[in-house]
Amino acid sequence: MSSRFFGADNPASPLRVTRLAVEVFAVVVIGAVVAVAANQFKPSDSRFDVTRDYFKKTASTVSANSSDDENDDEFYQLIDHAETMEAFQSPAYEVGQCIFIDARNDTVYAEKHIPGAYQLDHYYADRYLPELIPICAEAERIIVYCNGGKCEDSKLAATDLIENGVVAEKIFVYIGGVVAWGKDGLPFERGERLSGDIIYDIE
Amino acid sequence: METTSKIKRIDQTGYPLLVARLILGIVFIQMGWSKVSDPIAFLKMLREYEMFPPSAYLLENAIALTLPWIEVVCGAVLIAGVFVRGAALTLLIMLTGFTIVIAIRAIGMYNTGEFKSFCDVAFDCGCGSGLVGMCKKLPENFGLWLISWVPFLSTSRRFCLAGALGNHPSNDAAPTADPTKITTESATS
Repeated sequence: MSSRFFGADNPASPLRVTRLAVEVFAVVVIGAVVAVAANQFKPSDSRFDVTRDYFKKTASTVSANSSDDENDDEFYQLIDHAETMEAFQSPAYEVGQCIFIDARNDTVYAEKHIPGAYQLDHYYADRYLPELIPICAEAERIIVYCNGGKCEDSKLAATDLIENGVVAEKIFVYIGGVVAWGKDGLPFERGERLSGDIIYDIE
Repeated sequence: METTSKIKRIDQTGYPLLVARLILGIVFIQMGWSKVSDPIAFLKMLREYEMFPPSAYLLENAIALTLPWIEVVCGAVLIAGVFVRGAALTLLIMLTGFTIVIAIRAIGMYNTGEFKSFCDVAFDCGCGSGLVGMCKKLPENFGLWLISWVPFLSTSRRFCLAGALGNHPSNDAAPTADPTKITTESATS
């Protein structure tokens, strides 16, 4: 009787509890080891960096006149939809002095982006910056955008540019992003930059 | 007593455990696998819950990298039938945590007044199922949580790799492999 209640069959017996703890530990450790190994097998520019603060936005930005991280709009020069549209139709855009930078990932960039926009996925910035920095140095106005709404990738990409020596005063963040652009019936380009495959959002 | 022995008898057939293992295994491999390829997307969703201060980014990153793989491993070992109780307890802990944080966020969103009813509240919870309504997600999580108790409590290891190898906790108590013997045992006790 006592062995039935206090022996190994009892779920709370020390033997079973220890075995259970070992099993949980094993599952967690195996998962963590596989995760680290799988990450290490990725190409270096696609690897997830555990030590990196991916959301650091305020290191050296446009007007560091506020320490309130919640209200980070103060750190960036924002540009509204009308001004962005104006910039898109300006001669400066035609000659590459005004450029657009899409801060979203490869998949959504390939689906649609503002025609002629370069890509800068902040989370894998090393892939894009070497090509982008000289182009930004030549440009007089750089408009960075992401999806719109609460998306913060455009601000993070703007920080990447500033930290890599691009003059902060040239950089503008288009808060409306892809959503506002599409709602107004403006054109998008599909595929690679300058693919010429123009599409429109149809609601 | 009658009910207990009946449950034990059903459990010893191994079928409830097999069904629970397959459901949990398939669901968690699918959920985990959808996140392993893009830890950044999962990290962004994790941030939406505002569980950690910005200074705890190392912890957040570690969770974003490892949690999806832990889900996959839990699913895989459950299907294989090794570390069954450990995997089940891990899932119980994770599901309890996930469900609480999802519910807190859903209630917070509902309280903003943007939604007519609680069932209108929908967001991508980072669970690997995309945009999902809370009246679907919360019962689904509760269902998985209930199912997770089956492998955690079951003493059967039929259809399990651990059972085939003779290496499982229930062996410590030298259980009867033949379900019919349970009936005899319970009848005499």
